[in-house]
Amino acid sequence: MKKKTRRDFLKTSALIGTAVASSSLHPAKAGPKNILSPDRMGVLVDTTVCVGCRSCEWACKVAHGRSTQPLAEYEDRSVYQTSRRPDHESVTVVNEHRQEESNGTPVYTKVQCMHCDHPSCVSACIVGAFTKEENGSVVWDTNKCIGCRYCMVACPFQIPAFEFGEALRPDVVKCDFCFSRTQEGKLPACVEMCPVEALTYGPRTELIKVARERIRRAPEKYVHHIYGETEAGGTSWMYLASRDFAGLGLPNVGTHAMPGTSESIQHGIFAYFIPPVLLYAMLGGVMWVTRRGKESEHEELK
Amino acid sequence: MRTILAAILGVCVVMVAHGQGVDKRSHVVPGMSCTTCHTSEVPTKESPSVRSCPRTLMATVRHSAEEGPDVIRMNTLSDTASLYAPVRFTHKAHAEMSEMAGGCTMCHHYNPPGRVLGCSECHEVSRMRTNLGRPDLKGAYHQQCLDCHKRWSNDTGCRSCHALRGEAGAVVVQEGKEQARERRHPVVTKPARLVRETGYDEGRLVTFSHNEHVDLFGLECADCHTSESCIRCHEKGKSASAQPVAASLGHQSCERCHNVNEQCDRCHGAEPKPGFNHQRRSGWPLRQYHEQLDCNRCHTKKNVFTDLSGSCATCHKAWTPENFRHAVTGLVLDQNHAELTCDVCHTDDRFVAKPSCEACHEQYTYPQKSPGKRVKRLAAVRGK
Repeated sequence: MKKKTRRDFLKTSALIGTAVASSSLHPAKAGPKNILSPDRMGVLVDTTVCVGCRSCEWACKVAHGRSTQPLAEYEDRSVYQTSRRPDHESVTVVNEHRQEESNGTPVYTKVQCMHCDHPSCVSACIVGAFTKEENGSVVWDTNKCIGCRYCMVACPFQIPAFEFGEALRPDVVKCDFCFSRTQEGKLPACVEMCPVEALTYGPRTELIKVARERIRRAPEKYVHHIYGETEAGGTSWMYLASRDFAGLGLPNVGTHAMPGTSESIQHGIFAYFIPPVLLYAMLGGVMWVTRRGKESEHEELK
Repeated sequence: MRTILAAILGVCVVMVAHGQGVDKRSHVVPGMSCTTCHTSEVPTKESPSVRSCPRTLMATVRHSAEEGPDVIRMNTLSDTASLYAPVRFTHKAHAEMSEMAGGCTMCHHYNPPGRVLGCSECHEVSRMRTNLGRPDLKGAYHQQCLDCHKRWSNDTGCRSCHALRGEAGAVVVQEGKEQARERRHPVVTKPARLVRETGYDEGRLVTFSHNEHVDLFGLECADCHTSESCIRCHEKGKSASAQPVAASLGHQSCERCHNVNEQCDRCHGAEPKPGFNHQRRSGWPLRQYHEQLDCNRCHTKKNVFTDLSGSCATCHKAWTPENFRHAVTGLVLDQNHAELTCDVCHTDDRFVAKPSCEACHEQYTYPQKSPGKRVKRLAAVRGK
């Protein structure tokens, strides 16, 4: 076996390094589909209109082929005694928010995936199972999912749920914005069902105009803010309300896109492979300098 | 009567069918600018340039509850696969309820002149649509009903309006709903004279003669009570109790007719004010003939009782010395005096002051000396 010198090893690694660096100069950026289309769709939820009938919950379950009790049983209001979160069985839930200080009418807030413009789940998913589609939907491929649940940690709204009860093939579950229905030209099931049209489906830019017009026409009725217009960098689902959003289960998540910070660090480290190559080049340089010093020392001794 | 029938027919047709254009014959409203509804000054049939709905300016014609239909079956969106049957909407009962709360415009929130439009003429049946600023028909119906119902009873349950469909899609009539046709709002009791205490040092008490405003001045409830809502008067137990909104508005309720900045003493005083007296208020007594007239016979401007000059000619424009029958005053002028103009004896044009004889007879005074023969006054004929 031919003995490999240290010099040979360094030469080979430098060659490989250059090859990798040059090949990564013009690559298609490897990563999941993450489209921010100007024509993306959204839903405007007007909580001043919602009456808490929960028909949307029923329609969602039927549209996704999940078992549910009959619609008439959804009229039972005792469910509002506890605040609920979307889980692996109900990807959308409606919560009641009573006003403590007065006996005014309660406000109902529908909770589901917000379908962020810059989704952290897409960013966090290590196998690229999550994608942001052209119509705004944030969907995931169950077959790619390895169950790491990074998406659940990454989501600022704590939406993705996990089938913890499934022993063999547990899935991550969340609202898929009725992706298959909208591809067929249908409305999302909850939007189609809502009797009061508290949910309005349309192009996101159009919905912002509609929301602004509603506030302009009834300034005393609304908080002058569209939740989701800028929250977490903007979301496809947006809310109007008569009182502070934080009290309606809509968290104050700031206006920065969540993946922004982590991705800038992660992607910065490996951008065009230049930083690693520089690092190795520097290390090589240090080694070369020290080695030359040693060699001259050797010669002097000779 | 014909117009009323036409209006009723119009509402029925509108509620059942939809998609008819605006009735052109009664389309133009005097005193209203075209730009209220059209973006162009000269809209044409080809290019009507109608402002998009909902408009901020409302061109709504007032109707009475009696003109509308009794009950409407809202079945435009009827779907036999649906769990719920179409609503039988007790239109008249709701119209009566709304009379003190904004009237027809509460639901018919935009209405062009001519006839009353139903919801389906503007609100599209399909939820998949381009104009997202306007709710679809289903949303419009429910938003309109539930906006009041949730405040009224906090009951937004489907079955408070919808009956459940039977197994084979048959309509099951909800118990008690059949009687709704006869359901009426009970007559609202009117207060007589209200005296309220204010925070002012001067003019502490405010007297409001509610009965006179209604009975004497002929105001309709909705003239002042524009924004009452059911829950104002009815608490959850549904017994009339709370103060109406109009009472809490203070000067706002009055200033539409009264100048509240200058005429404080009309209502405010240390003591409650007595009832209305024409002579005390205007200095012009209502005598035999005038006291029988409705206020608006002379004060023709609706709801604003502007001061009149007091001159006979303000109303009796046709009167001249030649055609005026002086006998109605209880005095037939003799031949000499009948030839004179009025102002020779009546020195003020309001004919209130005592007639003067000084112009011709220095020592004479009226009524010691009479310019004619006294007769019995002619019987007053109402309205003549």
